[in-house]
Amino acid sequence: MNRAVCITTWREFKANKVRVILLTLLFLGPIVMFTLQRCGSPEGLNRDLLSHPLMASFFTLLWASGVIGREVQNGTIALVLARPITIANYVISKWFAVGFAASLCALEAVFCEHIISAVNCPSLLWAPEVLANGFERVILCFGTAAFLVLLSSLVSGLKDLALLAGFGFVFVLYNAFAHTVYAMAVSTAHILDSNFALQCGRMIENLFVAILFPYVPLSVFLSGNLFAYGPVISLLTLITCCLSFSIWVLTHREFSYAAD
Amino acid sequence: MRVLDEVTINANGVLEPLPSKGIVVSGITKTYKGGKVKALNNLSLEVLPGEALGLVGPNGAGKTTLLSCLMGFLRTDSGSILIDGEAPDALLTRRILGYLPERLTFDRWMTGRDYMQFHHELAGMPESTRKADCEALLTKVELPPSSWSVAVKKYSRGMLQRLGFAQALVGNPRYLLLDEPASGMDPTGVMVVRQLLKTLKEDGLTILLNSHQLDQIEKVCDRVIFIKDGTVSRVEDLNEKIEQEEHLVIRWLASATSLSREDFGRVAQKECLAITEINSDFARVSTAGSAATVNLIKALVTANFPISEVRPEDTRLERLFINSNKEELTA
Repeated sequence: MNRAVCITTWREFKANKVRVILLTLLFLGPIVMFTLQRCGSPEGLNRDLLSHPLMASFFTLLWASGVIGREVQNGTIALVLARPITIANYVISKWFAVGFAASLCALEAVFCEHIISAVNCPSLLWAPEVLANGFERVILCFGTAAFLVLLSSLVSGLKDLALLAGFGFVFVLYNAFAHTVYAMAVSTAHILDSNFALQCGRMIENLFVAILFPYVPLSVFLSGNLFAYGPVISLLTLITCCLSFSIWVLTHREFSYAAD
Repeated sequence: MRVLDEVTINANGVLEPLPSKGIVVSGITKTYKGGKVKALNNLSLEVLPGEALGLVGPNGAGKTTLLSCLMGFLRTDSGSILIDGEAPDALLTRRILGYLPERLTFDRWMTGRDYMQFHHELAGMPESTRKADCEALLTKVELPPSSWSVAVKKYSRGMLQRLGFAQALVGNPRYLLLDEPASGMDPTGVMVVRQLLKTLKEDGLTILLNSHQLDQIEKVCDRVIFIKDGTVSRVEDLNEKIEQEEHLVIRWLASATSLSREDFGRVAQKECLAITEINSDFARVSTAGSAATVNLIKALVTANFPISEVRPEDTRLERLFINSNKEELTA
């Protein structure tokens, strides 16, 4: 991992005012929402009101969009890769920089949400679910970061956001299609066929979910449930595949303006 | 004495830098748009260690493509490139290459100092010398210290070019590939670059210089390669003396002599191939070569012409370039 690439990624984010404003809003939004919710509901006073760990995905999205694509677009990547640094090292450094920064933001957010809960009910201060929630966010950040780094290496500029939107759209479209097909199979009483279709449909659906939201429920995992290893394996597979493919894409890409 | 990264132990157990092997380009071809546009066509050349080689050619001749291939940014369709015996994209090669592209792009939020320190770290140089090394390089390219802490987005074109040049020198490279280094610079900047190139050459760096400023190439380079349609059309050794037609501008003090321009014509006629323009105190002439030029000046002095200036109207490289264009038109 290259320290210079990581630090430059963080500093570049800091220099972009729009992103800093969006980050602040993303940070404050859930805190304000849960504080208001707590004020309006007396039963909420005695439990920890934490936002869903998937909030971490939005932090990652903010940090990762265009993380490689912008450098490809403005041409600065060429001089970076002209230095003695491998493409694998570059990609992993970018992934780590995004994952670490997004994790830090997500952890800060969950910490603030928890403090607000603990102010009203001090017994919640050492609640273990905060730790579990925090770890889940960190895992989610690094998983999502790998997928977003891959998207960013495929296109230039911020076009990775369009790719992500397209991927999400295909997921929604597929979901609607699969449910319709299943409903038709059930209505025509083809039980065997419908079972097969159901299994295939679920598998593809799970694949989409594993890519878009690589969420590992830590409490289930720690309870020793064997089924909890599934998300862990898919998370590790996602990270490995995305980073490897990203390295492959950049290795086979040419960075020069000579063709202009 | 420059410090090089690659060292070997000699028979006496003393560390010595590995000898340079130079750059060897063998029959490379590079096409764009699925083979429709041929940027390089079976191009071969060799850059000897410690040599300064100039690349000259019209726009679109393939000079920038060649430099991009040497840097490993572009992959060739065929042929091979060896830099110190290694492939261009090998990590060892990147350690010994310094590169200044023609259209250098920067992270605009960085300051000049940040940019240098970023590249210093990427080059794997020690942190202990980072600040001093970067400041020394910025001083070397004569970038004012007041601008070092200013964001790059506020730099002028010339300042960016100086910063880019300093960046190319980060990591003590053995080979320097420069694509229009003085582009967008003011006259002072052009002179700084020229002086810097001479110093670097004296330090033993191998320089490959692509420039449209022929006088710059002539003052710095040992050899020059003319590239046309992606292939080497001509190689000229600039250290070798050649006898060729010279175009001169001659001035004399008309107020200090009673001799007229007709007298000049009469004296100069013997040695000149042609007198293209003549005035009361000024003439443009062509001679067959340096020997004829010497004889012309001698004849003018003997005839009591108070000569105040004799200078070549164009440089050797300009003449070569013009002649090669003429040859093509004739062909």
